[in-house]
Amino acid sequence: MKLRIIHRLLAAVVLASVTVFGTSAWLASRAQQTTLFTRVERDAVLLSDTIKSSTRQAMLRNERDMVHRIIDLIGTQQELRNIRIFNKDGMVIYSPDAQLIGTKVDKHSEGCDACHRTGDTASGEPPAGGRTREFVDAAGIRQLGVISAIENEPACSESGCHVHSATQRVLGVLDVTMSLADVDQEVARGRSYTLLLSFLAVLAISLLLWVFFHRLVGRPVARLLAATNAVATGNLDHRIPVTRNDELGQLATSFNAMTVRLAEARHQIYQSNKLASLGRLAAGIAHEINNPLTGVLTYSSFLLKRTGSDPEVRQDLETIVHETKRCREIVRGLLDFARQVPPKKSLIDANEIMQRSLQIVDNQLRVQNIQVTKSLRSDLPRIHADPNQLQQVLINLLVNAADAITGDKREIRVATDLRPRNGQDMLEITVADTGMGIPEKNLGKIFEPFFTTKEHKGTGLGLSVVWGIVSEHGGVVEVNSKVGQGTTFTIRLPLESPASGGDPSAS
Amino acid sequence: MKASFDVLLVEDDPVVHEAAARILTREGLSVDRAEDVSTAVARLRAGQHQIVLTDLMLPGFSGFDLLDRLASDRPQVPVILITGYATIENALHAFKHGAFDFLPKPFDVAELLGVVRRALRCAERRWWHPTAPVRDLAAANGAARPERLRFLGQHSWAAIDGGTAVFGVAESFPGLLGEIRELRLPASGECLTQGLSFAEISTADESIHRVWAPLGGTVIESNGEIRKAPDLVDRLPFSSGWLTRVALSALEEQQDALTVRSGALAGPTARSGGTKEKRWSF
Repeated sequence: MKLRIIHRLLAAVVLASVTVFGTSAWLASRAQQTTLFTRVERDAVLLSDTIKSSTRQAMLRNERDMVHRIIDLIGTQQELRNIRIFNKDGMVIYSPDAQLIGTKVDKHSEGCDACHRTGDTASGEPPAGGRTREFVDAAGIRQLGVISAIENEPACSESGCHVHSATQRVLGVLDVTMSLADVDQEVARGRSYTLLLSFLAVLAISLLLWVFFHRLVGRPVARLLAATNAVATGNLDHRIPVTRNDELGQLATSFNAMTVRLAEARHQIYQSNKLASLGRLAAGIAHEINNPLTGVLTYSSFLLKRTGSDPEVRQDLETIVHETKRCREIVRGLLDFARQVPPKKSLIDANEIMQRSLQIVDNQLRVQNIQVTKSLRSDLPRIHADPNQLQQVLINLLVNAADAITGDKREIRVATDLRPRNGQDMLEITVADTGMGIPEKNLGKIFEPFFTTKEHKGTGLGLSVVWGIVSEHGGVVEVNSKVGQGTTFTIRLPLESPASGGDPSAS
Repeated sequence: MKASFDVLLVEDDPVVHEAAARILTREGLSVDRAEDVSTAVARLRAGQHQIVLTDLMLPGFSGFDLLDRLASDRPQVPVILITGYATIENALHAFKHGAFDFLPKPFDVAELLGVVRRALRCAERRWWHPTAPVRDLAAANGAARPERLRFLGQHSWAAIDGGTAVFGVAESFPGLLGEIRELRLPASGECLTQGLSFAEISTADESIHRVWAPLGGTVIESNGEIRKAPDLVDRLPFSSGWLTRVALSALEEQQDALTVRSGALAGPTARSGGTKEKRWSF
């Protein structure tokens, strides 16, 4: 299945939020770890100083039991892992763990090498890393050790026991080791918590965005997709409901406008193709049918000429001759129609053509007692068109209009105007009558060749010729009609000549 | 001595051929028959023929070939081309090749007899020459401004004035029609196509004579006078006997089919001298 756009967007959002939340969670966890560690370190240093201070008096008075007791007492604190006091030879002399007392520690072992890096004698000040150190004990638990030197001071050498000479700088070392297990646990807990929160936040954002995307993008895009599919399968009546004013709404509006124009174009092409293939068909039929029709017409008319006075036979023969002549008229009509030539365009004034056409039918209109009302726009631009064909169009429409008028209102209104349509100005010519009107069921057929309501009076080609000519000029014909009130034909022609207008001077 | 016939009928379609032959024979005309151009040429050599009625589309050589041949070898023989409506354009050009007239299929008895009778009368009176009219009625008399006239052979004329033109019949009608019964002319607003019938003349001998439009256009008006006095067509075809005034369409490409008779006065009219007084006497 194809990845939908909404899923892609969502994937991008999830990736971005995971990155952002992951980074911040990692940074937060780091900060928490540092804070906690600093606190433990401070505690350890404080404890170390406390031990030194609380054992100071007992040490000065050389009350070793007292020192032991104090250290034991402090050693009961849970977080304290170990307290060791070494003498200068590296032997543990105090510790809550009695087993350690008397054991000797190598100066290069863990914790000592910070100061004893260069040799037996300590290099003086503690290293840059401070007095603290981290290490992992045999049980795999992280520890924090704080070493602090017990320095000689006048009181030590001047006290009564005289254990220490005044020349010694360091008398021993206090090593306090604290477990980092709690800290690590807390950090781990904090990290899990942050992770959980981040996960929930990503989830919530994704869900919310999914809903928003679905409503704001997914649904309209799906509607557009459905519409394009509908159009692709030929359904040009499909319209997208336009509910918004944003880009997608505008897209829907443009899409609808496009399908409307596409439908119009398709109708035009359909009509033109139909007319063109009909023309070819007509020429073919006419060619094939000529000889047999000649046989029928000559023999039947010959028979009619020779037949006696029997009225019945005469009448039958007259019917045959008459009907054969009708066939001939149909074939001629077809051929006339097939003979339509491409327009020979020049710059023309539509008003002038209208006036000339009115002059041509003037006689007929006067005989039929029909009034003509003109409303011609005086500032019409000249257009590229075939004056003769346009005149034929107007005459066909005028004659049709006159033929449609049967009642008391005997008026034909003609007008020329400039009107915008689909963003460009079009020349609009209307011919309206107050005639009988066209029933709705016939409106779709009136431009089809051989459709006529004039019985034997018309060929049924007038309006299809109108359609053909206007189409060749890149224009459209529209008809509005109300039965009993009249019919209005509107011709819209482009001001600019279309590229495919069959203009020989353009090729 | 060569056998003499009124008509040489050249037609390859057996039904049309037989029908036409029977109609003409029953009119008392002697009909010589051929199915193709080669046979027709042989028949022409073997006999004397007043007129030739030939189909345009024939196997092998076409009716045009026969027409060209006759125009040079037997210019006094009027040739009628039978043609389908699909080949009207060819028929129009046939006038330039010297055809007397053409008869579009499908035709009926009256139409066939109409054109055949006119051609026969023309041949009998020796009025026919395919390219230069023996009786140049327009140039000699009647026409207001003969230089404006454009001719569809000797069949019809158009006097062009800007976007409009007046149509009328030319030499192949006056004096050849007999008694005119009825004249049918188009109504204003009707669309005319070049080469298609726009006027119909019915005569007392039950024949119909069709007049082909020399140009296409829309009818402005038809001659009202002529309806009352149809014989004006016969008597004054270039003046009062005009038929229809038309708003022209696409004049340029249609003009090819028409001819201008420049210097017509110095043409065969002058040569045939005596026709002048004869012209107005029928």
